[in-house]
Amino acid sequence: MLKILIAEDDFASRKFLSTFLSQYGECDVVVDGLEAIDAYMISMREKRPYDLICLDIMMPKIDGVKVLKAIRDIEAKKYILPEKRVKIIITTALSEAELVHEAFEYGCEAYASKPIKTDKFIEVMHKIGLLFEDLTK
Amino acid sequence: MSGLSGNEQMLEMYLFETNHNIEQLEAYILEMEKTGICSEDSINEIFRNMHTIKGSSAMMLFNNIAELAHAMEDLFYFIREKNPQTIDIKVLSDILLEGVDFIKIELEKIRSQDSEEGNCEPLMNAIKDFLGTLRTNYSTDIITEIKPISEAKLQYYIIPDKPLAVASTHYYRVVLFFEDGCEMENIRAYTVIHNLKQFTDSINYVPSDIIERPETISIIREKGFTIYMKINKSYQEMEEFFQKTIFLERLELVELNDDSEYTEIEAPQPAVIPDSEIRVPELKSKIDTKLKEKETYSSSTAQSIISVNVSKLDKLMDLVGEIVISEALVTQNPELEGLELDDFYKAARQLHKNMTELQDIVMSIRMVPLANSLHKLHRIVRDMNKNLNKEAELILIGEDTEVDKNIIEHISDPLMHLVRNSIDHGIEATEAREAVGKPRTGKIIIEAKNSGSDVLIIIKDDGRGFNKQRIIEKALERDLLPKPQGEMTDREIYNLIFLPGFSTKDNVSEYSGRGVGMDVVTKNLETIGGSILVESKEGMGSVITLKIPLTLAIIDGMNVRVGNSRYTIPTMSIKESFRPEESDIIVDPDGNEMIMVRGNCYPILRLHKLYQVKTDICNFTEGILIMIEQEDKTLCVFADELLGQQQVVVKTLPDFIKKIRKIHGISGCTMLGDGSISLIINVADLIM
Repeated sequence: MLKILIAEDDFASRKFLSTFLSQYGECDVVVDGLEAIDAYMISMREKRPYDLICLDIMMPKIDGVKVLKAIRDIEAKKYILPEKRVKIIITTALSEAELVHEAFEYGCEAYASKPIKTDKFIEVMHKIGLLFEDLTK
Repeated sequence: MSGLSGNEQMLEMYLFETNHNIEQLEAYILEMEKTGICSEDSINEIFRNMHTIKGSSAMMLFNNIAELAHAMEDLFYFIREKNPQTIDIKVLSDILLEGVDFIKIELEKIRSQDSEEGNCEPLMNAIKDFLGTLRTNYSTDIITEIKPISEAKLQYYIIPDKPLAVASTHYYRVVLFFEDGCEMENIRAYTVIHNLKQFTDSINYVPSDIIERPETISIIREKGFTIYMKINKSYQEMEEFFQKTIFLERLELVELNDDSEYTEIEAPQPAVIPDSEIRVPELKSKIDTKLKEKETYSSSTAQSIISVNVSKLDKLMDLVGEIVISEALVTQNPELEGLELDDFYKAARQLHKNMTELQDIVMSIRMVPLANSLHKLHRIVRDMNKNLNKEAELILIGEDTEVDKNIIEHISDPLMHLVRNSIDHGIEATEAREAVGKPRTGKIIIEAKNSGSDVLIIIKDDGRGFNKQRIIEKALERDLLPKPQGEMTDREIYNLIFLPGFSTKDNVSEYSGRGVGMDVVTKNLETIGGSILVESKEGMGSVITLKIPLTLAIIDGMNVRVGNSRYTIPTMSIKESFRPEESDIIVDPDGNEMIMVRGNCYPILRLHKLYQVKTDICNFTEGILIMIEQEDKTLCVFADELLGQQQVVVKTLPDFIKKIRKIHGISGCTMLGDGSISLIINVADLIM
């Protein structure tokens, strides 16, 4: 079972992602960037870190890219090895190339433009080492 | 690009880059095959290209391309490390080119959003086999297995499921009125918007703050609830949709022609950003502009080329055309007649000078060298040599000749067909060539050069040339001969090959026999106003010359008047104009009028009769004859008088005229200085 955090302010997307991802694990859902950071820090404190965080970019209070950066900064400070870091997939309707590159620079594992292609999403989860079952299944 | 949504920058960038890489790759492979050596440089280049393609394809999750590129990269890794001396370059380049073709097809599928992924399995196996044989040959070397090249950072980009923007969109404005006393009009309106959002996100509505301010209820009651939207539904569908609204009293649904009204009401995009508090990351470029400034300052010398969307250039060109027209409208305004305006004309001359300069610059921006379209031909020649067992060599001359971007698009196909034709029909098999004492390798020379306002592309081959007798036989067989055999000139006979359905081949092969290719050549040339000329000597080869105008948009024209109508004849095709003597006119028994000039007889065409224009001048001695020539054919056109020469901007005839009927001999229209419309004469059409 994976531990998944979904940060997403739009109700429909939130519902969709949590339904879709709940087959792979337990999904926590937050509605803005601040809560996402809160949730991440709580999970670290409890020593039950997330395996996957799905971040929307356009969110109230703190945007997704800043959350991504904040999380990576915290990890760096705690000397967490690169392969042990939480996997982050940006899920957003914004697809400007510059934004994508920026997100990659800050170290997200994948960038999914909405509407989300679920088969590709699952494929990526395999590729970044979250899922191990047979791909053909 | 039609299938792509405009918002998918990442995908567009990927396609652009990969296409570019693939083209480079192809060039390197062909080069390698030609010279027969894998130089270290070309190995490195191919390796680098493959690596880039693999990386970006993997990121975009196009797995088959990535896998294939990876296999090819492995192959080159081996070659680079071990540098084996006895590689069969022929086999190697065959495999590589097949791979390149495969990737090209896949890219095309991605572009057209075809979800089907091709199967690269057989190709992969071929590559592995080849690598296997290479390895066994060099097993005496150190046994170090080739390590998979370290993967770069694993990051992926998932393309959106559906295109974000819809290809065919309509703009609508709808005003909804709810039944009296239904209460909570704002909530009712909101549900409509909510339902609409499943079809489109591009909705604006007035009043916009319906939920936040209940006061809006009264506005909705009085003025109705107005929605502007961009959606890919037909009028009927929209009407049905709105009719289902509860408590609806009546609605006004209007389809808008453009988005002007829609964008005017640019509410702060309520559909996407419902709350101003939402944070969108500022793009880095905006944050550290200062830093960038420094950078660009230092790197400005390196980056002197930018890429611009062609549609913007088209717009710019259109605009310049419009300005040329308005300039004529101002400086040749009939109201100025008879006035002494020295300063005005001075200023007008200055304006004209600058205008011409502007025109030249805009034109030059759109000029693209022919090199790209010409280089593609190398591949065709190579493949045909292989399949037909011939030896032909392609020589390019003047590949840096520049023509308008729009024209380039239209000549790639004709060039391909002409080269195919030359190899298939022209160049003989090697044995046959040696038998008649020609060098083994056939030569196809493509030469491009400027001549006046035209570009000439000459395709020359040293093959067997056209067989006149055979062409005539085939034409007779298919009943394509326009006139008795004896009356036809050589050139007319050669031109038969451009008729649709004509082929001298008896059976259809991969390359020819359907009689389509040459037809494509003429069709494409026609659309860009070019012409084609064939010369041939049996046994010695043939020369095909394409004459293409440099640009389509602005031409030099002679304005003539017939009755109250104006016509513009391209100056390029006018030979002379003169007022004939009554005695020079000849009328044949069928009533065809002709004129004798310097011992030659030319047919006369009366413009007023052709276009049924009322005019007082029906007598040749009162009007003027203009001799026009196209491809060795000459015709005298009769008009009332010459008005003068002028640069005119060619506009296509409006759709509503085109729809009614095709007008013979008119290629477009333009506006003259006095605001009247002049029809531009298509000389080729008239002479035919």
